[in-house]
Amino acid sequence: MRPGNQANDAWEALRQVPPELTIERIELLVTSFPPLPLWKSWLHYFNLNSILMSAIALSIVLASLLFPGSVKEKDAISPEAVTKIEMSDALPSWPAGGEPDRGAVIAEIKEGDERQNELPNLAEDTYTLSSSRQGPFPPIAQLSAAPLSVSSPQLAPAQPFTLNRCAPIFPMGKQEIRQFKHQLLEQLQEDQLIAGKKENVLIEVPEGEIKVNGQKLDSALFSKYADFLYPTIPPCQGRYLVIKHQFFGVGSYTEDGDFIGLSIYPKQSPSPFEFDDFETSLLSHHDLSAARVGERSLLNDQVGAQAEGLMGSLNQDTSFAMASNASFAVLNGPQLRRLKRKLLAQLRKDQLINKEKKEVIIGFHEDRMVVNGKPLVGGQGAAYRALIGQFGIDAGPRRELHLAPRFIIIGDFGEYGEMLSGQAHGKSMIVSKRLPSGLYADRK
Amino acid sequence: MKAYAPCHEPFIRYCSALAYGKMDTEDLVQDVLLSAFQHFDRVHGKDQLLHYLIRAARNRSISRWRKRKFKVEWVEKHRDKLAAQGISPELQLDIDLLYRELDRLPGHQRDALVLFEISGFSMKEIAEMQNSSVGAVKTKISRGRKRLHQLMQEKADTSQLSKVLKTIQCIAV
Repeated sequence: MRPGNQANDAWEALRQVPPELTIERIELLVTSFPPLPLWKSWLHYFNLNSILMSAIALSIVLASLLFPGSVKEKDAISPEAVTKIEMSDALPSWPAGGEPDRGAVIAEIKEGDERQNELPNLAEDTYTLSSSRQGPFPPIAQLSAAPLSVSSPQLAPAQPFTLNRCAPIFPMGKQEIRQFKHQLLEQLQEDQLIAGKKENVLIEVPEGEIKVNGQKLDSALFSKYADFLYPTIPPCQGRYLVIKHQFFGVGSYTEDGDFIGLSIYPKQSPSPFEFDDFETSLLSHHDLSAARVGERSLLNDQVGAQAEGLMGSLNQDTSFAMASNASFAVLNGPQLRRLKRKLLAQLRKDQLINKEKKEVIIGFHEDRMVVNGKPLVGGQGAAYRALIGQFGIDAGPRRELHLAPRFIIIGDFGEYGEMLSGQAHGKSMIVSKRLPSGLYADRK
Repeated sequence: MKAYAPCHEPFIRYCSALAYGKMDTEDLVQDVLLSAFQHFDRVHGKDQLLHYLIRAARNRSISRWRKRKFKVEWVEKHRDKLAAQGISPELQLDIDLLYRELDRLPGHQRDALVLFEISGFSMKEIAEMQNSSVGAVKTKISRGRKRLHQLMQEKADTSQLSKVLKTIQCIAV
């Protein structure tokens, strides 16, 4: 029988045959379901949203009736004076003996975004900003100031954000962040560092270099972007700037793996400043939904104390190395891609994988080589050992290479598939010291 | 149940197609219905319920059973059910082959084909369920059919070739 006819007959049969389960059987199943909690079924009859909005409106009206404002003319504060007060409150506290002319600084802020290159010499005080949610965030090492909550949308925070040993990030208002982001994206696009303004951008700002989406800038571009970034975002080891559509964040990771910095969710947050982690915005929702751990973001859990790069993924190619590992050289993106191509070509040639099989786990151990669970025999193992060795990668008791259409990961994996150390290049990959990672993340 | 009744047939057919050879259809259905029962307040309208059920079934099969291979015991159970429903053994083999080759298609093509061919949804409805356009659904179905035809052709050729080889072996002996 011709395949076309086979398929048609099969489709027709499947359409005609009665459903496998009858509706009576479904009724029996449904009656066995546990009942919903009473409060939930009761609550169904109320539209909480409209109740809340009405209550808020009523309280505003009542408040305006009960507390009428009456300002006498002579007591009125001029708008200019108010502006000055607000601005001076927004200034960082200058160290004694180094206070610049306040008038000059106020003028600087009044001019808007035309930031001067010379920043005042701020003390290296360290502060912590308490998160708006009471999560189990461990205390940041060596911090002494009391938590500072930033809630007013009108005032910029009085202190800048910083970590120990880093020059602080200059605080910016919501509008300033938007302008900064817009200018930065325009420049990046003009310099062809990104394809479009809606592309995700990860900028690393350690001292002495700037990387944009993993690509180190040459000297000309470096000086250009240093001039633009450093006045607001001074360089610091472990400092990142992350831009996604509707998101902007800049900050650093603490030794405990938390992120401290400045982030803004224009549509989600009522205030322009909110201390928050570099959360799920860096991982695609698809990857994250299965991996969220309690109140903490996945990214927080992924960043180990020794992390040198950003764990997780953006929706575009990114490379990073995790924990300095002396047993193999850190490869860059093109090298990793070349290794992946060579390996896949060799695997197909040796018929260890076929065209359909696009995911491979290679166990790269001292005494054996394993491909998708099958040990290699004879000279095959030696050939692959030599091929991988060309890239400066040594074998190890837990060493594996994960090849997938989206990524390549080389690292040491633990018992549960968690990645203890290594490096990765690709998109939408899960890399975690606590969760199944790489191709293990896909397996349930 | 009143809201569910019109959704029953296309939903069960879809679950049967997802479950074939990998799991018990009733388990999948129960799982999905429990979720719908618990989140019923979020579902508005009859159309929404059916779409919700289809999406929930697909998500469950993806998250839990995507990597499962066909298992002999499940295949036999499903075949027994088909036999009980009056399907001839020859047609059972065709259905078995169809499902196996369907499993080799990319997820979105497989999904569109099953929804269109078995559950009887229109392309517009499939486009709504998959947050896609009608044109994209048409493309998926067309490519899915073509690929399915190729896969079944390869299978047919292989089995013919093996039959010929066996015959040659017998003659040689």
